[in-house]
Amino acid sequence: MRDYAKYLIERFGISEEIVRKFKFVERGRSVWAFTGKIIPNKWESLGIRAFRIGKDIKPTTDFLRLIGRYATKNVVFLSNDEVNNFMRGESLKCNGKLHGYVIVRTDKFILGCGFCKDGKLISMIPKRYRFQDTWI
Amino acid sequence: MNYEHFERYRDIIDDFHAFMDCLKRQVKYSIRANTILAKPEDVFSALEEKGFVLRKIPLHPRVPAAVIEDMPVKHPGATMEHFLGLYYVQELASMLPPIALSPKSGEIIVDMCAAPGSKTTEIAQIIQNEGTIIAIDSSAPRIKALVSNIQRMCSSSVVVIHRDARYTKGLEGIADKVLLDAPCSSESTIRKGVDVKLSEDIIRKMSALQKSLIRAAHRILKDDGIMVYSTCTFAPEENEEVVDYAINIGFEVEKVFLPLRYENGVEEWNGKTYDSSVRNIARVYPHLDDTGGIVIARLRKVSD
Repeated sequence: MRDYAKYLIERFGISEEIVRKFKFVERGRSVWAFTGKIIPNKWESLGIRAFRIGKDIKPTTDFLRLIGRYATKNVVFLSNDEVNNFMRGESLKCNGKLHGYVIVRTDKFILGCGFCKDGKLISMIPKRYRFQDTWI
Repeated sequence: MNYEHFERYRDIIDDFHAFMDCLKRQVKYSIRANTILAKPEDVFSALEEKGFVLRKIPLHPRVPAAVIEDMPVKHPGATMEHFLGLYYVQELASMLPPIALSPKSGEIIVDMCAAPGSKTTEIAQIIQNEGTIIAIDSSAPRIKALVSNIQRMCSSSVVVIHRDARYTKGLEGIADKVLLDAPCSSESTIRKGVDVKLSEDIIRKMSALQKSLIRAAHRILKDDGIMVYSTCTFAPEENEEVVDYAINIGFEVEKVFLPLRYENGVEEWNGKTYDSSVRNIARVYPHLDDTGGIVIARLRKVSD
Protein backbone atom coordinates (compact mmCIF):
# COMPACT_ATOMS: atom_id res chain seq x y z
CA MET A 1 0.00 0.00 0.00
CA ARG A 2 1.19 3.51 -0.79
CA ASP A 3 2.24 5.76 2.09
CA TYR A 4 -0.67 8.22 2.06
CA ALA A 5 0.48 9.94 5.26
CA LYS A 6 3.81 10.72 3.58
CA TYR A 7 1.98 12.11 0.52
CA LEU A 8 -0.03 14.52 2.72
CA ILE A 9 3.07 15.64 4.59
CA GLU A 10 5.12 16.21 1.43
CA ARG A 11 2.43 17.61 -0.87
CA PHE A 12 0.55 19.87 1.55
CA GLY A 13 2.98 20.34 4.45
CA ILE A 14 0.50 18.92 6.94
CA SER A 15 2.15 17.91 10.20
CA GLU A 16 2.84 14.28 10.97
CA GLU A 17 0.85 14.64 14.19
CA ILE A 18 -2.31 15.36 12.16
CA VAL A 19 -1.91 12.75 9.43
CA ARG A 20 -1.05 9.97 11.86
CA LYS A 21 -4.54 10.30 13.35
CA PHE A 22 -5.87 8.60 10.21
CA LYS A 23 -5.77 4.95 9.31
CA PHE A 24 -5.76 4.63 5.49
CA VAL A 25 -7.51 1.62 3.99
CA GLU A 26 -7.58 0.81 0.26
CA ARG A 27 -10.65 -0.80 -1.26
CA GLY A 28 -11.02 -0.97 -5.01
CA ARG A 29 -10.00 2.39 -6.43
CA SER A 30 -10.83 4.25 -3.22
CA VAL A 31 -8.75 4.99 -0.17
CA TRP A 32 -10.62 5.62 3.05
CA ALA A 33 -9.32 7.69 5.99
CA PHE A 34 -10.66 6.59 9.36
CA THR A 35 -10.01 7.96 12.84
CA GLY A 36 -11.87 5.18 14.69
CA LYS A 37 -10.24 2.11 16.20
CA ILE A 38 -12.51 -0.80 15.24
CA ILE A 39 -13.00 -1.93 11.64
CA PRO A 40 -15.80 -4.47 11.20
CA ASN A 41 -15.44 -7.22 8.56
CA LYS A 42 -18.09 -5.77 6.26
CA TRP A 43 -18.65 -2.04 5.88
CA GLU A 44 -20.24 0.42 3.49
CA SER A 45 -18.03 3.37 4.31
CA LEU A 46 -15.06 3.80 6.61
CA GLY A 47 -14.60 7.39 7.71
CA ILE A 48 -14.01 9.69 4.73
CA ARG A 49 -13.18 8.68 1.17
CA ALA A 50 -9.77 10.34 1.01
CA PHE A 51 -8.23 9.46 -2.36
CA ARG A 52 -9.17 7.95 -5.69
CA ILE A 53 -6.58 5.79 -7.37
CA GLY A 54 -6.24 6.19 -11.12
CA LYS A 55 -3.29 7.31 -13.22
CA ASP A 56 -2.29 9.28 -10.15
CA ILE A 57 -3.51 9.62 -6.56
CA LYS A 58 -6.26 12.22 -6.41
CA PRO A 59 -7.27 13.62 -3.01
CA THR A 60 -11.02 14.07 -2.62
CA THR A 61 -12.77 17.35 -1.91
CA ASP A 62 -14.39 15.85 1.21
CA PHE A 63 -11.06 14.85 2.72
CA LEU A 64 -9.39 18.14 1.85
CA ARG A 65 -12.24 20.01 3.54
CA LEU A 66 -11.38 18.04 6.69
CA ILE A 67 -7.60 18.46 6.71
CA GLY A 68 -7.14 21.51 4.49
CA ARG A 69 -6.90 23.97 7.35
CA TYR A 70 -3.65 22.29 8.47
CA ALA A 71 -1.99 22.67 5.06
CA THR A 72 1.02 24.96 4.71
CA LYS A 73 1.76 24.61 1.00
CA ASN A 74 -0.01 24.06 -2.32
CA VAL A 75 -2.94 26.08 -1.04
CA VAL A 76 -4.83 28.57 -3.22
CA PHE A 77 -6.84 31.35 -1.58
CA LEU A 78 -9.82 32.70 -3.54
CA SER A 79 -11.52 36.07 -3.19
CA ASN A 80 -15.29 36.23 -2.63
CA ASP A 81 -15.78 37.10 -6.31
CA GLU A 82 -13.94 33.98 -7.43
CA VAL A 83 -15.61 31.49 -5.08
CA ASN A 84 -18.90 31.00 -6.94
CA ASN A 85 -17.14 30.51 -10.27
CA PHE A 86 -14.86 27.87 -8.80
CA MET A 87 -17.82 26.15 -7.13
CA ARG A 88 -19.64 26.13 -10.49
CA GLY A 89 -16.78 24.07 -11.88
CA GLU A 90 -15.15 26.89 -13.83
CA SER A 91 -11.39 27.32 -14.22
CA LEU A 92 -9.55 30.35 -12.86
CA LYS A 93 -6.10 31.85 -13.21
CA CYS A 94 -3.46 30.84 -10.64
CA ASN A 95 0.22 31.19 -9.88
CA GLY A 96 2.09 29.60 -12.81
CA LYS A 97 4.62 28.04 -10.44
CA LEU A 98 1.95 25.76 -8.95
CA HIS A 99 1.48 22.34 -10.51
CA GLY A 100 -0.68 19.41 -9.43
CA TYR A 101 -3.40 19.05 -6.82
CA VAL A 102 -4.05 22.01 -4.54
CA ILE A 103 -6.31 22.86 -1.63
CA VAL A 104 -8.67 25.69 -2.56
CA ARG A 105 -10.06 27.87 0.21
CA THR A 106 -11.30 31.26 1.34
CA ASP A 107 -9.92 33.02 4.41
CA LYS A 108 -12.44 31.12 6.57
CA PHE A 109 -13.56 27.92 4.82
CA ILE A 110 -12.04 25.12 2.73
CA LEU A 111 -13.77 24.72 -0.63
CA GLY A 112 -12.12 21.55 -1.88
CA CYS A 113 -9.76 20.18 -4.48
CA GLY A 114 -8.31 21.98 -7.49
CA PHE A 115 -5.64 21.14 -10.05
CA CYS A 116 -3.08 23.67 -11.23
CA LYS A 117 -1.46 23.49 -14.64
CA ASP A 118 0.14 26.20 -16.80
CA GLY A 119 -1.21 29.04 -14.67
CA LYS A 120 -4.75 27.66 -14.69
CA LEU A 121 -6.71 26.45 -11.65
CA ILE A 122 -9.09 23.67 -12.71
CA SER A 123 -11.99 23.02 -10.36
CA MET A 124 -12.17 19.41 -9.16
CA ILE A 125 -15.37 19.99 -7.19
CA PRO A 126 -17.62 16.93 -7.68
CA LYS A 127 -20.82 17.53 -9.68
CA ARG A 128 -23.03 16.92 -6.65
CA TYR A 129 -21.38 19.83 -4.81
CA ARG A 130 -21.32 22.29 -7.71
CA PHE A 131 -23.08 25.58 -7.25
CA GLN A 132 -26.58 25.63 -8.71
CA ASP A 133 -28.60 28.65 -9.79
CA THR A 134 -31.25 27.99 -7.11
CA TRP A 135 -28.61 28.30 -4.35
CA ILE A 136 -27.26 31.38 -2.71
CA MET B 1 -54.13 15.55 9.17
CA ASN B 2 -55.37 13.17 11.84
CA TYR B 3 -55.37 15.52 14.84
CA GLU B 4 -58.12 13.48 16.61
CA HIS B 5 -55.55 10.75 17.19
CA PHE B 6 -53.82 12.97 19.76
CA GLU B 7 -56.94 13.11 21.97
CA ARG B 8 -55.65 9.91 23.59
CA TYR B 9 -53.02 12.06 25.37
CA ARG B 10 -55.45 14.55 26.90
CA ASP B 11 -54.96 13.14 30.41
CA ILE B 12 -51.16 12.94 30.40
CA ILE B 13 -50.18 16.26 28.83
CA ASP B 14 -50.49 19.43 30.90
CA ASP B 15 -51.89 22.40 29.00
CA PHE B 16 -53.33 20.06 26.37
CA HIS B 17 -54.88 22.92 24.37
CA ALA B 18 -51.48 24.57 23.89
CA PHE B 19 -50.10 21.18 22.80
CA MET B 20 -52.86 20.72 20.19
CA ASP B 21 -52.57 24.30 18.92
CA CYS B 22 -48.83 23.86 18.53
CA LEU B 23 -49.21 20.63 16.51
CA LYS B 24 -51.18 22.59 13.92
CA ARG B 25 -48.34 25.08 13.37
CA GLN B 26 -45.40 24.02 11.22
CA VAL B 27 -42.13 23.84 13.13
CA LYS B 28 -39.44 26.33 12.09
CA TYR B 29 -36.29 25.04 10.44
CA SER B 30 -33.19 24.90 12.59
CA ILE B 31 -29.55 24.16 11.89
CA ARG B 32 -26.47 22.84 13.69
CA ALA B 33 -23.09 24.38 12.86
CA ASN B 34 -20.36 21.82 12.17
CA THR B 35 -17.60 22.49 14.70
CA ILE B 36 -15.39 19.89 13.01
CA LEU B 37 -14.94 22.20 10.02
CA ALA B 38 -15.40 25.78 11.21
CA LYS B 39 -16.07 28.19 14.02
CA PRO B 40 -19.83 28.42 14.60
CA GLU B 41 -19.74 32.23 14.59
CA ASP B 42 -18.19 32.14 11.08
CA VAL B 43 -20.89 29.75 9.84
CA PHE B 44 -23.74 31.78 11.30
CA SER B 45 -22.36 35.11 10.11
CA ALA B 46 -21.84 33.74 6.56
CA LEU B 47 -25.54 32.84 6.48
CA GLU B 48 -26.60 36.14 8.03
CA GLU B 49 -24.64 38.01 5.35
CA LYS B 50 -26.77 36.13 2.79
CA GLY B 51 -30.00 37.28 4.46
CA PHE B 52 -30.76 34.52 6.96
CA VAL B 53 -32.28 35.65 10.26
CA LEU B 54 -31.05 33.28 12.96
CA ARG B 55 -31.93 32.87 16.62
CA LYS B 56 -28.96 31.14 18.23
CA ILE B 57 -29.64 28.41 20.80
CA PRO B 58 -26.63 27.31 22.88
CA LEU B 59 -27.74 23.69 23.36
CA HIS B 60 -24.27 22.33 24.16
CA PRO B 61 -20.71 23.71 23.82
CA ARG B 62 -20.15 21.44 20.80
CA VAL B 63 -23.67 21.63 19.38
CA PRO B 64 -24.16 25.26 18.38
CA ALA B 65 -27.70 25.52 17.03
CA ALA B 66 -29.88 28.21 15.52
CA VAL B 67 -33.54 28.51 14.63
CA ILE B 68 -34.15 30.07 11.21
CA GLU B 69 -36.64 32.91 11.70
CA ASP B 70 -36.42 34.02 8.07
CA MET B 71 -34.40 33.11 4.98
CA PRO B 72 -34.02 34.19 1.35
CA VAL B 73 -34.32 30.62 -0.05
CA LYS B 74 -37.12 28.05 -0.03
CA HIS B 75 -35.10 25.39 1.76
CA PRO B 76 -32.26 26.04 4.22
CA GLY B 77 -30.06 23.50 2.44
CA ALA B 78 -29.90 25.59 -0.76
CA THR B 79 -26.64 27.34 0.06
CA MET B 80 -23.01 26.78 -0.74
CA GLU B 81 -22.24 26.60 2.99
CA HIS B 82 -24.55 23.60 3.31
CA PHE B 83 -22.74 21.72 0.59
CA LEU B 84 -19.41 22.61 2.20
CA GLY B 85 -20.63 20.69 5.26
CA LEU B 86 -20.62 23.77 7.46
CA TYR B 87 -24.06 23.03 8.88
CA TYR B 88 -26.76 20.37 9.06
CA VAL B 89 -30.48 21.11 8.82
CA GLN B 90 -31.80 19.40 11.93
CA GLU B 91 -34.80 20.02 14.13
CA LEU B 92 -33.86 21.21 17.63
CA ALA B 93 -35.55 18.31 19.47
CA SER B 94 -33.66 15.86 17.24
CA MET B 95 -30.36 17.31 18.54
CA LEU B 96 -31.18 16.23 22.10
CA PRO B 97 -30.56 12.43 22.12
CA PRO B 98 -26.80 12.72 21.35
CA ILE B 99 -26.54 15.37 24.09
CA ALA B 100 -28.29 12.99 26.54
CA LEU B 101 -25.85 10.25 25.49
CA SER B 102 -22.89 12.50 26.46
CA PRO B 103 -20.35 10.68 24.28
CA LYS B 104 -16.67 11.03 25.20
CA SER B 105 -13.42 10.90 23.22
CA GLY B 106 -12.11 7.37 22.75
CA GLU B 107 -15.42 5.64 23.34
CA ILE B 108 -16.97 3.02 21.07
CA ILE B 109 -20.48 4.14 20.22
CA VAL B 110 -23.07 2.22 18.22
CA ASP B 111 -25.86 4.15 16.50
CA MET B 112 -28.37 1.38 15.82
CA CYS B 113 -30.82 3.05 13.42
CA ALA B 114 -28.52 5.70 12.04
CA ALA B 115 -29.82 6.91 8.67
CA PRO B 116 -29.94 9.60 7.44
CA GLY B 117 -27.21 10.55 9.89
CA SER B 118 -28.26 13.69 11.72
CA LYS B 119 -27.52 12.19 15.14
CA THR B 120 -24.54 10.14 13.91
CA THR B 121 -22.77 13.22 12.60
CA GLU B 122 -23.73 15.13 15.75
CA ILE B 123 -22.07 12.46 17.92
CA ALA B 124 -18.95 12.66 15.72
CA GLN B 125 -18.98 16.42 16.25
CA ILE B 126 -19.31 16.12 20.04
CA ILE B 127 -16.32 13.74 20.22
CA GLN B 128 -14.49 15.76 17.51
CA ASN B 129 -13.91 12.52 15.55
CA GLU B 130 -11.87 11.06 18.44
CA GLY B 131 -13.52 7.70 19.02
CA THR B 132 -15.33 5.03 17.02
CA ILE B 133 -18.94 5.32 15.87
CA ILE B 134 -20.49 2.23 14.31
CA ALA B 135 -23.54 3.42 12.37
CA ILE B 136 -26.04 0.72 11.40
CA ASP B 137 -29.07 0.88 9.16
CA SER B 138 -31.13 -1.72 7.33
CA SER B 139 -32.39 0.30 4.36
CA ALA B 140 -30.21 0.55 1.24
CA PRO B 141 -31.55 3.92 0.03
CA ARG B 142 -31.23 5.36 3.53
CA ILE B 143 -27.67 4.01 3.82
CA LYS B 144 -26.83 6.02 0.71
CA ALA B 145 -28.11 9.19 2.37
CA LEU B 146 -26.26 8.28 5.58
CA VAL B 147 -22.93 7.82 3.80
CA SER B 148 -23.45 11.02 1.83
CA ASN B 149 -24.10 13.05 4.99
CA ILE B 150 -21.11 11.52 6.77
CA GLN B 151 -18.86 12.51 3.84
CA ARG B 152 -20.32 16.03 3.66
CA MET B 153 -20.00 16.60 7.41
CA CYS B 154 -16.49 15.03 7.46
CA SER B 155 -17.31 12.54 10.23
CA SER B 156 -14.11 10.52 9.90
CA SER B 157 -14.80 8.49 13.05
CA VAL B 158 -17.87 6.73 11.57
CA VAL B 159 -17.95 3.28 10.01
CA VAL B 160 -21.24 2.36 8.34
CA ILE B 161 -22.68 -1.16 8.40
CA HIS B 162 -25.70 -2.19 6.31
CA ARG B 163 -27.75 -4.66 8.33
CA ASP B 164 -30.84 -5.05 10.48
CA ALA B 165 -29.73 -3.79 13.90
CA ARG B 166 -31.47 -6.73 15.56
CA TYR B 167 -28.72 -8.93 14.10
CA THR B 168 -25.76 -8.35 16.43
CA LYS B 169 -23.18 -10.96 15.37
CA GLY B 170 -19.67 -9.59 15.84
CA LEU B 171 -20.86 -6.65 17.90
CA GLU B 172 -21.66 -8.36 21.22
CA GLY B 173 -20.25 -6.54 24.25
CA ILE B 174 -18.42 -4.03 22.06
CA ALA B 175 -20.02 -0.67 22.91
CA ASP B 176 -19.45 1.84 25.68
CA LYS B 177 -22.59 3.61 24.52
CA VAL B 178 -25.54 2.92 22.24
CA LEU B 179 -27.94 5.35 20.63
CA LEU B 180 -31.24 3.71 19.75
CA ASP B 181 -33.32 6.35 18.03
CA ALA B 182 -35.94 3.79 17.25
CA PRO B 183 -38.34 3.46 14.33
CA CYS B 184 -41.65 4.68 15.71
CA SER B 185 -45.12 5.84 14.77
CA SER B 186 -43.56 9.31 14.26
CA GLU B 187 -46.43 11.29 15.71
CA SER B 188 -44.41 14.47 16.13
CA THR B 189 -43.57 14.69 12.42
CA ILE B 190 -47.07 16.12 12.03
CA ARG B 191 -45.41 19.49 12.79
CA LYS B 192 -43.27 19.05 9.67
CA GLY B 193 -46.47 18.86 7.63
CA VAL B 194 -46.16 15.08 7.22
CA ASP B 195 -49.58 13.40 7.04
CA VAL B 196 -48.34 10.38 8.96
CA LYS B 197 -50.63 7.35 9.30
CA LEU B 198 -51.51 7.04 12.97
CA SER B 199 -53.37 4.20 14.61
CA GLU B 200 -53.24 2.07 17.75
CA ASP B 201 -52.37 -0.92 15.55
CA ILE B 202 -49.24 0.83 14.22
CA ILE B 203 -48.29 1.81 17.77
CA ARG B 204 -48.56 -1.83 18.94
CA LYS B 205 -46.44 -3.09 16.02
CA MET B 206 -43.79 -0.44 16.64
CA SER B 207 -43.69 -1.27 20.34
CA ALA B 208 -42.92 -4.92 19.55
CA LEU B 209 -40.14 -3.90 17.12
CA GLN B 210 -38.68 -1.48 19.67
CA LYS B 211 -38.51 -4.20 22.33
CA SER B 212 -36.55 -6.48 19.99
CA LEU B 213 -34.14 -3.60 19.27
CA ILE B 214 -33.76 -3.08 23.03
CA ARG B 215 -32.72 -6.74 23.38
CA ALA B 216 -30.14 -6.22 20.63
CA ALA B 217 -28.82 -3.08 22.35
CA HIS B 218 -28.42 -5.09 25.55
CA ARG B 219 -26.22 -7.60 23.69
CA ILE B 220 -24.13 -4.87 22.03
CA LEU B 221 -23.36 -2.93 25.23
CA LYS B 222 -20.53 -3.60 27.66
CA ASP B 223 -21.52 -4.05 31.31
CA ASP B 224 -22.33 -0.64 32.80
CA GLY B 225 -22.64 0.73 29.27
CA ILE B 226 -25.13 3.49 28.54
CA MET B 227 -27.96 3.46 26.05
CA VAL B 228 -30.07 6.43 25.05
CA TYR B 229 -33.44 5.32 23.74
CA SER B 230 -35.53 7.90 21.92
CA THR B 231 -38.60 8.16 19.74
CA CYS B 232 -40.36 11.05 18.05
CA THR B 233 -43.71 9.84 19.28
CA PHE B 234 -45.71 10.43 22.45
CA ALA B 235 -47.35 7.00 22.83
CA PRO B 236 -46.46 5.47 26.22
CA GLU B 237 -46.64 2.05 24.52
CA GLU B 238 -43.53 3.08 22.52
CA ASN B 239 -41.76 4.83 25.38
CA GLU B 240 -42.51 3.99 29.02
CA GLU B 241 -43.68 0.47 28.14
CA VAL B 242 -40.47 -0.21 26.17
CA VAL B 243 -38.32 1.23 28.96
CA ASP B 244 -40.24 -0.88 31.50
CA TYR B 245 -39.39 -3.89 29.30
CA ALA B 246 -35.73 -2.79 29.27
CA ILE B 247 -35.69 -2.71 33.08
CA ASN B 248 -36.91 -6.32 33.10
CA ILE B 249 -34.05 -7.52 30.87
CA GLY B 250 -31.25 -5.78 32.79
CA PHE B 251 -31.23 -2.00 32.46
CA GLU B 252 -31.72 0.71 35.03
CA VAL B 253 -33.09 4.15 34.17
CA GLU B 254 -30.99 7.24 34.80
CA LYS B 255 -32.23 10.81 35.02
CA VAL B 256 -32.03 12.71 31.73
CA PHE B 257 -30.85 16.33 31.77
CA LEU B 258 -31.64 18.40 28.70
CA PRO B 259 -31.07 22.02 27.68
CA LEU B 260 -34.74 22.45 26.67
CA ARG B 261 -37.92 22.16 28.76
CA TYR B 262 -39.49 18.74 29.24
CA GLU B 263 -41.90 16.79 31.41
CA ASN B 264 -41.37 13.52 33.24
CA GLY B 265 -42.35 10.07 31.99
CA VAL B 266 -45.76 8.68 32.89
CA GLU B 267 -46.07 5.81 35.38
CA GLU B 268 -49.57 4.73 34.38
CA TRP B 269 -51.27 4.36 31.03
CA ASN B 270 -54.46 2.59 29.95
CA GLY B 271 -54.66 0.58 33.16
CA LYS B 272 -50.99 -0.46 33.06
CA THR B 273 -48.53 0.60 35.77
CA TYR B 274 -44.85 0.84 34.90
CA ASP B 275 -41.74 0.78 37.11
CA SER B 276 -41.59 4.08 39.01
CA SER B 277 -38.16 4.89 37.53
CA VAL B 278 -39.78 5.61 34.15
CA ARG B 279 -40.41 9.05 35.63
CA ASN B 280 -36.76 9.72 34.74
CA ILE B 281 -37.73 9.70 31.06
CA ALA B 282 -37.85 13.15 29.47
CA ARG B 283 -40.91 14.03 27.38
CA VAL B 284 -40.16 17.04 25.19
CA TYR B 285 -43.51 18.38 24.04
CA PRO B 286 -43.69 20.76 21.05
CA HIS B 287 -45.51 23.54 22.89
CA LEU B 288 -42.91 23.86 25.67
CA ASP B 289 -40.20 25.48 23.52
CA ASP B 290 -41.86 25.53 20.07
CA THR B 291 -39.87 22.53 18.81
CA GLY B 292 -40.66 19.10 17.43
CA GLY B 293 -41.52 16.41 19.94
CA ILE B 294 -39.21 13.74 21.32
CA VAL B 295 -39.14 11.31 24.22
CA ILE B 296 -35.74 10.35 25.63
CA ALA B 297 -34.62 7.72 28.15
CA ARG B 298 -31.09 7.15 29.41
CA LEU B 299 -30.46 3.55 30.50
CA ARG B 300 -27.51 1.79 32.08
CA LYS B 301 -26.86 -1.89 31.47
CA VAL B 302 -26.66 -3.53 34.88
CA SER B 303 -23.56 -5.73 35.39
CA ASP B 304 -24.26 -9.46 35.61
